[in-house]
Amino acid sequence: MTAIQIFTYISLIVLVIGLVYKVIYYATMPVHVRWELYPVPHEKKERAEYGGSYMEEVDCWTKPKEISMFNEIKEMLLEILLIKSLFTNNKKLWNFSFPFHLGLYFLVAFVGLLCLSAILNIFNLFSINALNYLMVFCGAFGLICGTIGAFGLLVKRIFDEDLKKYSAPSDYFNLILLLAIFISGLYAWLTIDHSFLTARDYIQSIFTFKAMPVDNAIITEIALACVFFVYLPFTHMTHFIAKYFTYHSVRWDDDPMVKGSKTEAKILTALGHKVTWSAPHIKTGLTWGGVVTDQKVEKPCWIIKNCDENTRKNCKAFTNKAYPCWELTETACEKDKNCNVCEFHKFNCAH
Amino acid sequence: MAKNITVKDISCSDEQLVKLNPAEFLRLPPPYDKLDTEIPLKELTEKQKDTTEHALDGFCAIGMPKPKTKEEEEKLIKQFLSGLEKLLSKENNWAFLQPLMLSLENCAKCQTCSEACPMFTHSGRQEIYRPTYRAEILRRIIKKYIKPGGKLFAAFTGSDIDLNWQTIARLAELAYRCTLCRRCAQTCPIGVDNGLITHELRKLFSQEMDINVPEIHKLGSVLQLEKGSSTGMTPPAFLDNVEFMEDEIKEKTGMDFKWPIDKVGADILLIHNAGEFFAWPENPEAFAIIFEKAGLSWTLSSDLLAYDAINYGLWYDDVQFAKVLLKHTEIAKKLKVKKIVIGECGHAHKAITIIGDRLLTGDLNIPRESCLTLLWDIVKSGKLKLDPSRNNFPVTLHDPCNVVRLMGIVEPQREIIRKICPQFREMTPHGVYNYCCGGGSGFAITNSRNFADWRHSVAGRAKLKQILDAFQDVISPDIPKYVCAPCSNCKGQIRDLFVAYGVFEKCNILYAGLVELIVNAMTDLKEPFIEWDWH
Repeated sequence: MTAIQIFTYISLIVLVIGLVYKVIYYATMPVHVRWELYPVPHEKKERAEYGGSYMEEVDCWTKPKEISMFNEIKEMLLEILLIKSLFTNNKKLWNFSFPFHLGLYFLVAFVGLLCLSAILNIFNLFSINALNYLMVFCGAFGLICGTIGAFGLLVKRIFDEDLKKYSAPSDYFNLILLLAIFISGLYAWLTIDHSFLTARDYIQSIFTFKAMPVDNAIITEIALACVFFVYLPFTHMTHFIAKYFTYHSVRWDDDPMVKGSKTEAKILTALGHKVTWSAPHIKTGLTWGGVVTDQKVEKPCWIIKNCDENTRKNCKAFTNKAYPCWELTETACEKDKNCNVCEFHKFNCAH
Repeated sequence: MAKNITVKDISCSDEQLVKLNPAEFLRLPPPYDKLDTEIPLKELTEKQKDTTEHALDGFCAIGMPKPKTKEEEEKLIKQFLSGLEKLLSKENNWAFLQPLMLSLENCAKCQTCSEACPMFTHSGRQEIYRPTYRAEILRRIIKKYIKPGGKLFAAFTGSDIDLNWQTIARLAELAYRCTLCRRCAQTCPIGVDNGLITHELRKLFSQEMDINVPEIHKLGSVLQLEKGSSTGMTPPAFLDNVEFMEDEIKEKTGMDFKWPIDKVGADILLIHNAGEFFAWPENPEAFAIIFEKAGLSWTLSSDLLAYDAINYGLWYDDVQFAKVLLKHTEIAKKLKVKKIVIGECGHAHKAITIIGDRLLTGDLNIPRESCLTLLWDIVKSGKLKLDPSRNNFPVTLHDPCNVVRLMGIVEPQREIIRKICPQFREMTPHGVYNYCCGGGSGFAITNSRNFADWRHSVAGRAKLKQILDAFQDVISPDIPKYVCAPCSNCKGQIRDLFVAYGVFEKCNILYAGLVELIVNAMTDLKEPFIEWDWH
């Protein structure tokens, strides 16, 4: 096993763990309040165009919600493939950002094709000429587009005052690293690996855990790519993951609250979080439910209700302090089952 | 050209980071195209300068006192950092955590959003008003002071902000140089929302450090929770007002009817912004006329808070927001109404229908609806006899951000106006891409010290320009014109803009709501409902 192969394995492991972590990190964040922004494309046709919502209809909650998945998917594809919002709002940057991203898409496809070709080769199944041509096309086109895009973005970031002022060393580093990957890839392709078969064989060696010595030009290319894989999860370049959430979970998330829904259950749990904000108008230390209902009593229920020691011991509200009494069974008050007339409940329960 | 300010300058020791000069502002159309028609910007008095923080641009929305000792400064810095940690925690900020983290962690600094921001473009591209400026400051502070190993990588990530009192004081004021219109967020290719970051910054300052705008907090949401309304109006005063409005309707139209108050079991609980009762009573009057003529089952409430739809917490404080939200819905529950309808008040729309939606659990999840939706349904039904020729004057429509961009109610108000106003013309841009009136997020009620000057000449500039542009062909004061602004806050801002620039005198443009236009078109009325000599 060569050093570069070992580095490849490590970087792939870091990349996969890093990306999976990012997805889980955003996907498992607590339920949030609605914060949608119009236009929302899954609205029915004409509404999606002018930015209207289902709330334009009188008594909308009595009507079935019409959702156009077609519009939503169309908008997603336009955003992903063509970066539509940048085209509309910042054409000058799109001129470079688009080839840059297009190059990346083709390179991802290229790596996919390399893997496919390697697998076919391992099992000695068949070899298709068309696959090889497609591989060369995706690889070369991706590298050329990427180079043009990354170079243009770098130049813009160096000379455009508005961009320069906000750019950190890391922003230049990101572009230079990607540019180096594209250029070393172009160099390897033009000098020694015209058909990308060496690249294919390298991937095959990764699949089969066999040692494979490679040329220096290719080692450089692979090493740069691996540095990028290790580095990527720690940067804002994972915005391809974030973008799913910013659009689907925030901008386009217009789902109304329904009684008895999962969202409602999540909200009820969240209202139980303890508030520690310190401004004087907030009663620090109470739950959100207690704070917003202006809880008057800061004492627990067994003090308010003056329960004796024996009652306390046998009451879940006393023994399980994590939950408010009205959400528990086996409490001393349970036989009354009338939280509505309970002073403690009135002041402490948000619902 | 504006001074070349960088992000790092936020912590510099200069007495004032930027001094605005009206000559740099984007020019307005005639008759305001000459520099001498600009309103002069008042400077703070020497005494105010000595005692009040003004290190950003010389204007004061908050009016923080300056810390007197070094210890006091250090305590404030500690408070800020502890607030910042809470802002990023699940326990203290679950309701906004996902959108906030997405926006903090993914900006590519492409500056696409800048061109969408009227504060930035119309102020002559003042760097400090750029949507990414304040967001970038916060991002850098988090990277350096909150992230593990932040100081180690600070040079590489460009996190060069020194957290001193200057930074914090400027950042607090800067949180009140954005109206939270979220036009910037619409243009972001990644979906980052710098408007949200402003909102969250305000929360940090209010919920941890008790730093907020007095008109919005102490005289706003606090007063509302105590007295029932931020106007100070108590339930008996509200009932007096209703009586006055009933009399006025009788006097103006001859219609004599009692307004339903606290009617249990009515279909609709209508909640107005209580500011209407004082400043524009003809608006609630027009609502009453329309609802009566359409034969709706409706009621107003005289309960504490339920006669004032405002919920200022929406702009700066989650706790105040949720308290008011619960009061509003509890009263609707008590009255057993089928739905709550919000009058012409934009932020109240968004507060109770959108932001409050998921917080209303169980029985408090009472349907809530925009008055615009309901009004179009009434007009469409033909229950009112309307004659468009009664509205035969040039009309343009302002889109309140909270109702349009942030709630998607775009067409109902347009359908109504197209039906009853033959000389309707749109502003450019309009609908979900509109410009904020410049009074959003509490600015319209913020008048202390010299803030109103900023609000008129910077925040409101885009809207004033749009209104004048829409009427350029009929700009002569001989032709009366009408800006329809179906939102109390926007109306307040447009009123103040018009007074500051003398728009009524020079151009004869009146501003008011949508219901006034509907009633003005009603054939049942002998006299026109709109009074043109009033402004």
